[in-house]
Amino acid sequence: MNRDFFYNWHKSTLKKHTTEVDVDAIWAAIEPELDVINAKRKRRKGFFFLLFGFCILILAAGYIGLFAPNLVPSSTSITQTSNTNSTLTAKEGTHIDTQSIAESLSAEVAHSNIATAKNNTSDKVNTSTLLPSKISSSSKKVNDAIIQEKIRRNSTPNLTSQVRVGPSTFIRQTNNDKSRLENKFAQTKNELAQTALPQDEEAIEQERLFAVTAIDYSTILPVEGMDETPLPTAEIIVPKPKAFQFSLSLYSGIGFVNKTLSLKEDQEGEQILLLRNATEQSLEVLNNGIKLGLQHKSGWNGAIGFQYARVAERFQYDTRFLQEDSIANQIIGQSNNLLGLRNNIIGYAPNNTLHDLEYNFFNNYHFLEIPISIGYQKRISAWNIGLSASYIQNIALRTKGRVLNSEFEVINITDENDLFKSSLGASFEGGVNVDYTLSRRLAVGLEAFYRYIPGSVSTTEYTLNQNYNWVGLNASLKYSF
Amino acid sequence: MMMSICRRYARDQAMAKDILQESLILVFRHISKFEHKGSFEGWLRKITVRAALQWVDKKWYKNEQHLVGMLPEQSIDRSTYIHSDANHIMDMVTSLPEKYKIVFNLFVVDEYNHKEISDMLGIKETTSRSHLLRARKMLQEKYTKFSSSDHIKKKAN
Repeated sequence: MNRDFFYNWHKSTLKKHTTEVDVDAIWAAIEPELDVINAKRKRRKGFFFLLFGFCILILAAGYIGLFAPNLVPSSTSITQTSNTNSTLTAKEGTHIDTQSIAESLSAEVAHSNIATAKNNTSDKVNTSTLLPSKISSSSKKVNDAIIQEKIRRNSTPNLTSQVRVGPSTFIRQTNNDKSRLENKFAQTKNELAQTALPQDEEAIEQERLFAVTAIDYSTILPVEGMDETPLPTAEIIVPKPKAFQFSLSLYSGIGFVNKTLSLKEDQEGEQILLLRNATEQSLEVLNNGIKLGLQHKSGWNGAIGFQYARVAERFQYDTRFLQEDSIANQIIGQSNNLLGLRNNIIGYAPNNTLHDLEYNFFNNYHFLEIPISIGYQKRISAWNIGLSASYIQNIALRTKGRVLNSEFEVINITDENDLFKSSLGASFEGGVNVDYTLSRRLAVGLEAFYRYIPGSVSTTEYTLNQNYNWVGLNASLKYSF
Repeated sequence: MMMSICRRYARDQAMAKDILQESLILVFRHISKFEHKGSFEGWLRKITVRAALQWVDKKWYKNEQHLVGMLPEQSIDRSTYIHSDANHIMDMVTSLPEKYKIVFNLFVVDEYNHKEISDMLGIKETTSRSHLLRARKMLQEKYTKFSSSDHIKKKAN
């Protein structure tokens, strides 16, 4: 009892104790520090908006790429010009000059017209062949020169506080001082409230718990008259985090692809390897996906999801082909009859044209995949910094565009073809990520990653192995529940 | 109010002023997080106590030998200290060794229990209890000495 009285008496006496403070001196001491705090908040606000804008930009770009894939010029582009006079092939030793035929047609149209003409005139003239594999020797020489030039040009792979004042002087505190302090207090509170950042409630709570003790003083205030009542025990408010928390992430990103073409064992095809390296240029990869994650309070997490990735490439190939044709009812020679008169020989005059053909395509490789990842994240204030490793199972691979086959023919790889696999198998990804908590449930994040695909996208039928790996940056929006 | 709290935990007036400045900065830094659930005064008290504890080197707590042997209760006449004024009590408390003073202030004036004190200071609960007991005994000794002086006797008369 004596002890309780001792404690209560000290408590009431010391709580009533007041000390005079020089409010102006104190304010002058802390005012510069407040300016620093406000400046930090403004900088943090600016950085936050920059990060948020960047994430939204990447997400938007990714999803525009997902839903409007044709915004990237991925369609056919063939330009064909005929710029030379024909080479004459005389029949029966006669020589007649013919005028060149210059047409500007699309390749398909040219091919179809020529094919039709070939069918129509197959019994009258030499068969015209327009496929690059059957180019005449002269045009092949031109081809080689162009290819060598392209190889030369493309030889580089396209991988691309404390403010201290002097010793304080404490003077008697007046009512004016008190009211002035309260006014300044209220004014600064308003300013801080206006410049306050929207923050995650959980982060605020944790910071509050860190900054102050976890004691709810509302249970023990007001302090007046406490010596008459029994001492209440302050309660520690420590929110217990859930052991596991689910999250749903939407992510999108862009990366730079490194494509590797190599000859398969026991295969010959150095020329097609050189040609494909020279004519194909890797561009970007777009990544979009959704993940369902499960995070343990220790920081370890796992996720499974569904993602779509599209690798874009440019295919450029310049070639020439000889269009062999003939014109009916032409004078192809003269002969002397028995009377000594000269007669014209009417027949089919050859009319051959050398065409320049330029292929310019954007090839696309579409990957549908299931990523399974594990990772660890360390929470630092409102930030989560972590590492992740993923196993990615490809479930479908679709190709679109044109490439050269081992016969040096430009082939369409869209839809059915036997050069590329229909699914790719396993691949692996590792990344470093950082999340910024916007609110208790919402966070934005960035992840730099490296993706390695061990398997070739080409089938065993094809001469070359075609492998991909890429580095990229994903932006994500995560909702926790 | 804030200055009084600072004064209780500080070694001297200058340190109390430093703690007050730090407390006010903390208040302005975190004022947007005040949720208006409890009293504002209580919130200020929490911040001030926290700031005061940050100023105290807590390392010596870890190496503190636990006072297992309980000190005998010493009977003291209430009249030996109830005649002291608040400033005198404050001087008595602040003259305690720092480790005892902090525990005494936390437990008696700021109403934390031993579990909370042990968490805040990183010490064991038994250490907190023994520090409190030590502080109480020292204060009682101080009051006894003070009451034996002529000054107090005159004042009591």
